[in-house]
Amino acid sequence: MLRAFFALVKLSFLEAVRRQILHVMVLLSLVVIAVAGTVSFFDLGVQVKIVKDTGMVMILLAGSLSVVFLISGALFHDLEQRLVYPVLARPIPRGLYLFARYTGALAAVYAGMTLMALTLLALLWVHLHYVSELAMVAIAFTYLEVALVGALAMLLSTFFTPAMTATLTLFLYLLGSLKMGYLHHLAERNTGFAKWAITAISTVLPNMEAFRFKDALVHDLTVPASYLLLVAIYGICYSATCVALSIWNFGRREV
Amino acid sequence: MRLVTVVLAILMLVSITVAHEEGGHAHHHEPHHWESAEMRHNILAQLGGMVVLGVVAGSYLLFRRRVNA
Repeated sequence: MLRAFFALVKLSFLEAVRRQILHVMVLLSLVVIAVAGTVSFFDLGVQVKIVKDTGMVMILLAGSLSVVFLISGALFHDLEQRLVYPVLARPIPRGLYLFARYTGALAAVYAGMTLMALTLLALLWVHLHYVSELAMVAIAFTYLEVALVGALAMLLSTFFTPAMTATLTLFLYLLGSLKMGYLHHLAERNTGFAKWAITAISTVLPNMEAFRFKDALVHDLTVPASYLLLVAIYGICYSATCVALSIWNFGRREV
Repeated sequence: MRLVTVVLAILMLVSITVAHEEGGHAHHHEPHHWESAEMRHNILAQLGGMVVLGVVAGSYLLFRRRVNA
């Protein structure tokens, strides 16, 4: 079973790394990070802040967009091209197939994100001659956020077409980013059904803001370890729930 | 047409996000999310919900396996 899983992960990974969208995203981000780190208009303190800010935003943006576009079409493509039938004809559970598809695509995105992260860390090393622990932590939580976005895309791809999945995932991603800052205040200002509806949506939405430690990195602030642990558990549990729900829905679907 | 509506809604949300972030920078007294009790409360509530969902789903699967056996 484990051999089959790794074989499927490898296939999914190889298919994902050949996609042009990933190449474009990674190259574009690498260019932006490199330009922010090398072109010098400001003094060193401001320059380092700009490098950290730009680097973190580009890693998150490229990772999130890549994972959404890679995962949202994966299942639909396999069903349309009838690639899924020879795999499922073997004694491989549907859940294992879906999880391997998710893991392979995520691994490809992580490979691209690692290139960007290494570029950012190298630039920080050139400017400061040291790399803070918080840089590693902030990058690690960006990886976790991308895993959550991917799991959300995987869940939605078992219900909708690729275009609808990508649009809805990005929509939920943006709403999740606005959850604490905007939706909560919106719920407080409304009454009746509107308040109830906003609160219900807000309760289910993933809390994307919790994974972002860019401000702490840019302004050299400390983040409590207990909070980091809580967010890490939250990210893993939310991603696992989304993957479990997508396995459940794919399992009961007519293929 | 539906796609255009959704894309427009996304663009609107992006503009709100940017505006909110800029607003956040303007108010320096506003706590960061790792300092906010409301944020911790929200994360813990969602974690609790997921645990309940997991327990219910696990119990249902166990029950179904016993019935099938």
